[in-house]
Amino acid sequence: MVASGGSPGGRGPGGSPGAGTRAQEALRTSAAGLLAEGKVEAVIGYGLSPAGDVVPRFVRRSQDAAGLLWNDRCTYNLVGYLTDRDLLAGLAGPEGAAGADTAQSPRFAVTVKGCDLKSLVVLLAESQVRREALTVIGLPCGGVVDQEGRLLGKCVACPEEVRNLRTEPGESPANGPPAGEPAAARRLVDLVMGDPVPGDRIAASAPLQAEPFQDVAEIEGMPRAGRRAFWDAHFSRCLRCYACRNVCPLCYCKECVFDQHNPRWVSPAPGIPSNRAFHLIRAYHLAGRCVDCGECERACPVGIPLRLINRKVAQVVKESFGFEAGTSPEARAPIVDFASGDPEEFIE
Amino acid sequence: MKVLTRKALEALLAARVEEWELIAPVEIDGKSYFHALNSGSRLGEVTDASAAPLLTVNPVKEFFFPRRQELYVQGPEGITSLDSEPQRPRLLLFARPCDARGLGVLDRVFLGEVPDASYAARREATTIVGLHCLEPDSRCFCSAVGGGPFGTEGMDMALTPLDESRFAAEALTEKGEALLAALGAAAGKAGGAPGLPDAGEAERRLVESLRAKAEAAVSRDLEIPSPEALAARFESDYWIEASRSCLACGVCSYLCPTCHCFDIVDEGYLRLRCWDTCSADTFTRTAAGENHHKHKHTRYRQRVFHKFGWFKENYGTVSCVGCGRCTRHCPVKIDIAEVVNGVGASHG
Amino acid sequence: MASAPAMDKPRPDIYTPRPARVEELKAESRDVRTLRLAFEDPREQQGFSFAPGQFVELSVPGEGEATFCLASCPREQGYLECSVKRVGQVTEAIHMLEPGSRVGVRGPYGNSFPVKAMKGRNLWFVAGGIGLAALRSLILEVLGRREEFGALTVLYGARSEADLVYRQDLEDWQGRPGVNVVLTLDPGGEGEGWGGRVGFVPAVLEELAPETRDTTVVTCGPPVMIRYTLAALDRMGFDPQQVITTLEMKMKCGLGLCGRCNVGPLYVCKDGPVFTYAQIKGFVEQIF
Repeated sequence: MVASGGSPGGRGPGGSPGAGTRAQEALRTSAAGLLAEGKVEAVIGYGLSPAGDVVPRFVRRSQDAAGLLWNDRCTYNLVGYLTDRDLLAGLAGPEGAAGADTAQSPRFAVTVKGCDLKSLVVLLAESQVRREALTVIGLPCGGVVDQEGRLLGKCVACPEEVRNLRTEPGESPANGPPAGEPAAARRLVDLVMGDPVPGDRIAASAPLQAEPFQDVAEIEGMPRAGRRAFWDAHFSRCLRCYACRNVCPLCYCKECVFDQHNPRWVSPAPGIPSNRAFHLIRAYHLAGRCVDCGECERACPVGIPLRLINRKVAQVVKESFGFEAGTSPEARAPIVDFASGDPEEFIE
Repeated sequence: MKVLTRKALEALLAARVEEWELIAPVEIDGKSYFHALNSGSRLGEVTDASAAPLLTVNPVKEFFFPRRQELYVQGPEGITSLDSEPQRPRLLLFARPCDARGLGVLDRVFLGEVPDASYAARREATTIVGLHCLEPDSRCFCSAVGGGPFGTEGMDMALTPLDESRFAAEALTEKGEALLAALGAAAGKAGGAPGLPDAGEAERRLVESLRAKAEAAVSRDLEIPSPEALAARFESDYWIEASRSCLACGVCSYLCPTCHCFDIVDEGYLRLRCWDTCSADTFTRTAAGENHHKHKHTRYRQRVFHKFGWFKENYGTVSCVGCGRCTRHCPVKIDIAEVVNGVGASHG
Repeated sequence: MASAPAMDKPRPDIYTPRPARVEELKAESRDVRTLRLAFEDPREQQGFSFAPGQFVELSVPGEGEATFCLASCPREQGYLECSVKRVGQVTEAIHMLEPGSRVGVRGPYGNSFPVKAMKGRNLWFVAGGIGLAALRSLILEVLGRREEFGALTVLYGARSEADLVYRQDLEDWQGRPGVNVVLTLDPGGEGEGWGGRVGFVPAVLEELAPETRDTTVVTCGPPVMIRYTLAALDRMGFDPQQVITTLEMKMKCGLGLCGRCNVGPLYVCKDGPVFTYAQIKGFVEQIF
């Protein structure tokens, strides 16, 4: 029995059990095939724990592919595991499906929703993953839910082409392939599980934001003192557990600045000043990189609205550089690149 | 056993809100936390046991073993100890049996061979009013580790909700007796007869039937492995499998009522103590770079062996009260009960 | 509700260090300095005693606190000595101290070498690098009661000549009756004019082939050296109860509370840092 709201087995993407089951079957068949044919060492996907929770699952044997899951409770962004060298080395062990010939360059399959795919795009742009070592399994999605069965905030504003992996990211549907043909983003997605999913559930759950970054604007609309109190109240609860950092697919530094001893940049002890510093510095390190997959906010045990911070930074990046992260593996993020035409008013 | 009305409880708390430090579960942004009440404004909400969530996000340990405790200033002029003893008597309201029992586990550490003075002072200054659980959920496994939904270990007074406006109240210690007397006086001032009425036959039978129902509801089992079974599984890939999806963050440690590892850090000339987690790779890293727990799976193994093996060897009890917070809030839903139960199972 | 009972005696403060002052800093090698210090209160200094093997937590204002074994002779009442290798923030700060600088001291913590059980036995001290510091207080104690012990051998090695510590002490010990000092440098670490041996400490130990009879071996050094030395002693047939080591591990509280130095059921700060090989045999993979 599942100790949470929502239907026990989860509902299919878009809420309709039928479509979900078909996509899930396609996933299990594809995964079993990839493993049986030795095309990958492991499939990184979702499974169900004995207690009834959706959990990340690392399938190495073809016969275990039947345990893979795809439903509206599959909230995790699995892309983060692709930068964990120890994990991948462990998966590419002797029990894997593939033989000795792939030992030198192990290959993996990973299941991604549209939001997850965007973070993969950034990892590719930053050369953290080798595209040829991956089989990307796309999951057209109608929104995922939290423990109480409510649609996640990030899903409410998700564009149709993103969640259905419909076009090359960045391409508008007008320029893309005919409707109904998924994943012209074929160079990013190798296999697509199931048909595009209708957006009824998203439309029904909450009105779309009148404008992008409306949630950010609401905070900015607060008087300064109120904004300070708002954030300090949240930061006062921060335990510095680093769940947000560790779940983030783009926080992959071997030695994180916050773990450095010498010098110690920010006190590791919780306290409003050091917590503020942690969250703001991390947001800066994600400037032009964060794709709003929302995992940080989901992982936070004390309910800090972390997406707001990253979205504020994303808004500034968009306004200053016209740039949005996760749209193309060739795009260089403005914070790590320069063009000769960049304004330089600060140097006079 | 006495019968305590909610009215009398509220009346006493309202009268003492300046004199005592009141700590109780309050709702903040949709989640429940043990929190110090600064005024009487939320007393009505707080004393409504029927609305009390089964479990708060945070355990009660932070009120005895603070997340951040300033120890002393070591500056150019010399060393000054910082006193952090509670300035007022404290009342901790509605601690669940697992919460209260967790303090008993921490007592063995902090009131053991080397007593921690500020911990001792906080314990002495606090009266703990426990609240029995009428509806444990499927994640609770208190009974499997020596506790239970109607447990009283660690409480000064135990309350059982009889209905929306009454509790059965049992004083268990001197502090509990003193509180009972104060409640009786408050009941008198609130218009009833002074002193609390004894529980009658009907109330006693109700408590027994509620207890039986609650105990039957704790169905989750955890088999504490014998030292031999643990030792046999020490060198095993089981730990790699079990910890594969782990993010090595601090959620499980920081939300655990019995985890007590800490760091000592400097902020300028201030030296302070703060929570730390054995999940982090920096936990055992020396300045010279040695680290005997470089790998995530040995750290996870260390956590399980410590809590269910070595801690028991040293302190006579497992370091777990079965609250399930670690699993409830783990960003990837690792289930420690599942992991521990798997230790005894035969190898796959 | 009764208010908190009044305390009738002050509680011991387990985290706050005692003030001390640096008396001298002596360069031992390119990155090791020996710090000689004394408590600010002379009575506290006179009243302080420790047994060889114990350690203190030394703190530098604004920089941090770290663990150092006491390297001075326990019989010296006037001062304490710790030898510090520069590896990080705290140790760097210690290296920049001057006579008169204020520091903090907590301790002594930990257990100590089983000196009584060593009486009448031949003793081998096998050390590498800064590990000799952990054995120095024991060696000085034993030399101070020379007649109570058998033959003494000090086998000491380092990466290069510049990394050897306690050169003066080693010369002094070599001159004592019944004391044999063998120095060795790691292969490739010897320069021209090096007259001592060349070879890793565990390898030289096997060459020297100590007798197991009536002999106790005490060893300390980098983790990898200890691991190979313990294995070598095992091969040579030493009783694990007669092989003693002292472990270094990241520590913070030094009191068995913070959990950091926990290995199996043992806490290196509280149940150690001195252990017999018999005690830790089951945990060797976890430590090294």
